[in-house]
Amino acid sequence: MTQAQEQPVALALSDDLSRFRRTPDQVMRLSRMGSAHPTRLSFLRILLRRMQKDGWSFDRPVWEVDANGVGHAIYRAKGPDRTYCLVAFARDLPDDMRSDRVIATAWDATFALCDGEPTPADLVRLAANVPLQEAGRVSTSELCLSRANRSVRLFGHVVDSLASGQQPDPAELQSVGYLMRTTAVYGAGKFGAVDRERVADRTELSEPFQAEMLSVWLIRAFTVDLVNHLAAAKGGEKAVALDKGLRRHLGVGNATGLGMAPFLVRHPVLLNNWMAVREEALARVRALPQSSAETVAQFHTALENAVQNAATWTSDHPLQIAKLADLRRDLARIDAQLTDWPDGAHPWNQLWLWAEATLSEEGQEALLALMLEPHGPLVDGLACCLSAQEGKSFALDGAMTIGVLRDVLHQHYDWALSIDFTAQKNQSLFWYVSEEKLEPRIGARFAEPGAALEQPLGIARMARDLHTAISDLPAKGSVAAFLLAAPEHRLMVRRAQIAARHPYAEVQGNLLAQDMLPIDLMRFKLAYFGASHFDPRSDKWVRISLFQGEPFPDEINATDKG
Amino acid sequence: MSRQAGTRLSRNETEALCQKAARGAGMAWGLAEEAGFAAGWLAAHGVDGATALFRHLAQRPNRDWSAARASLVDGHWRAYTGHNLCPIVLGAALSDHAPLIIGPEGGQINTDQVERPVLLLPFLAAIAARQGSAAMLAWAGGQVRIGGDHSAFLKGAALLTLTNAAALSIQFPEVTGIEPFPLQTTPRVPSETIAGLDGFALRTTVPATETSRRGAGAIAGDND
Repeated sequence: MTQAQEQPVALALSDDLSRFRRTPDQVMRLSRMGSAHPTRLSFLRILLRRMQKDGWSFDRPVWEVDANGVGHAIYRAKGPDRTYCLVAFARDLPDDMRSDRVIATAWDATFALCDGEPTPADLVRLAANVPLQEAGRVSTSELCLSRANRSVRLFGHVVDSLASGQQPDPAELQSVGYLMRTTAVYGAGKFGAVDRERVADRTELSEPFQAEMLSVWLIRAFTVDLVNHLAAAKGGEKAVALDKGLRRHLGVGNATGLGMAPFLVRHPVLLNNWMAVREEALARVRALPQSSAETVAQFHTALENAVQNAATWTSDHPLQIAKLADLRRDLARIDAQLTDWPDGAHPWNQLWLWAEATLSEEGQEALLALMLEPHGPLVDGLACCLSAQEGKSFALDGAMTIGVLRDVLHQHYDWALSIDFTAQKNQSLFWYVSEEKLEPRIGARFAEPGAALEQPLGIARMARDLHTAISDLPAKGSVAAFLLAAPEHRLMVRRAQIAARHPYAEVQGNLLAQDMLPIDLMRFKLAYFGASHFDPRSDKWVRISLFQGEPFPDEINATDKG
Repeated sequence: MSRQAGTRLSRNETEALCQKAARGAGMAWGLAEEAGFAAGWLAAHGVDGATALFRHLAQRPNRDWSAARASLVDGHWRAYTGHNLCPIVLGAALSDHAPLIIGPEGGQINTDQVERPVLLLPFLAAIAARQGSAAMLAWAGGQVRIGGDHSAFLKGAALLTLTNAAALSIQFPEVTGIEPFPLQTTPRVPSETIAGLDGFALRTTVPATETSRRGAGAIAGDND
């Protein structure tokens, strides 16, 4: 990877954009992160763009699935340099075994994404391991391990309809949005898969989560093939295949719990790069002196799509219902505002400043996504700055003086130093890993046992503690000498030094506060993946849909374009 | 078959497991991260650092980590009286102090007895990479050089892996045009090591309560 990926902020930003750029204390707030929308820089969009641009081709060389839906299949994706294959194992899972929790032990389907084409010996090995998921092992010939469960209601409805020769109810299709939902997609060396550092220099994998997105996209094709297959087996001559127009409404669902939230805190350089790229993209659009008729027309189309998307987006969760109301109202306001727009210089910036003064965070972040949409040539190249070589930021600068460290804390952690941690409400939560299931959970510090074993996610309090620890030390002393005597502050010193070079590295929110909502962090990450519908089932877990409305492999197949 | 025993952990898995285990054994979080880094670097370079770390942690399962502190006196790293130096604590300290104490001529650093000294190699490699030098570690039984002949490094590292504790002499000789060592297949880690590290890692977890089980996901099932 290039140096540009290591320091996108320092290298990619030019000074004349600075007045159009939002600052970390504006954008790193939990409530705003929790209002994030997918953009054209979301990871699944990057994947689809690359595959279309580079003429990837796709086929299904193996389909060995019986009338009960049991068997295996292989989906092949051929790029200009390499081939990847999704191996799918399907079974007929009894309802009482179906769970989306990480604790489940069986799934309707399990998958591995292989580097190249699997040999017969690979298939034997994968068949013995992949269906076991966490209890099995894959190898460095695999990039991802994942699994999915049927949406029982929609899956059954679609199979029954198709078997009887009818297309399924479009409203039903749209309201659920997927035939299967993944409950984990593991990559980056998990369970023996190849480490990211060994493949990160491949063009097609250089942006974050590209192998994971490819897995999910091929899983989507598999889910449709499976309902067509089961309908044919059930209905015989009468059966029809799912209409390609209806098919577009289907994505892949995903059920995500608390585990996703700590990821953003544990990867500060990556978080910085994700945020810096998006904010740079927004600044570039705002800085445009004029708009073209073409971009304005595309913007109108994007807005129409967003209005439609918001109309079909449902949730039963009170928090999300309120946010959806904000979104729908604000999209209507944007639409009304466009009557006299564009008019004058810097039209995009005008629109943006109006939005900042008028709309909710939900509406503002939706507008951000809409403004990027017509500006591919201006912003798509920023995708290369989304990755991080985190190892390069690991070593501490021991020569930094205590005085400089203090300045860094004041400059980058002011939001944390002002929190009163003597108030119970400001540290009433603690994050921990459960002994029972080894999954991340949140406990109530003053009501439940276990706070002594909390995970280091209360960055605000750790920053405050470090600040207190160095407050009376001589300014000329070194960080190296301080840490020799106080190793308990090592983690926070590392973070502070990273934040000094990466302004968007820290979520500026107190993750221990009573009113903290983990779904804010989850939504942010899922929006970066490209999730278009976000349906919280509590403040701790959420369902989403990926790739809804996007093309299927046969629709972007280079070989089919003739 | 016995040569096939154990599990080939990825670098990422090695780092994650070793970090948790080090924390479970009582290291500060920031040092536990260093333990993960060290074992992960060794794995990526074909050396079983996970087992070295496990043996280090298991040697005193309830170690008083305040007694693992190192102090620097006239270019010599000293252990707390009556103790050996911890390679993670020392590695982190060497890394932090490198810009302060290593002069342009490379200098020489000596240490008291260091436990599982193979775990120090990743820190020396990182220091050398940052300052564009080689690194040389010598003990009574041999020496390892980072930068230069790769097979000699692997031999030296293998010998060092067998060393439980040793006083060390460290140098950072100036050289030009050093290429980083190529990544190796990660080593198989014996099941005793994994079980042992899992045991330490389990000490970072919290037993479940009814309250904690609620809210972790769907209770009513996922058949919808």
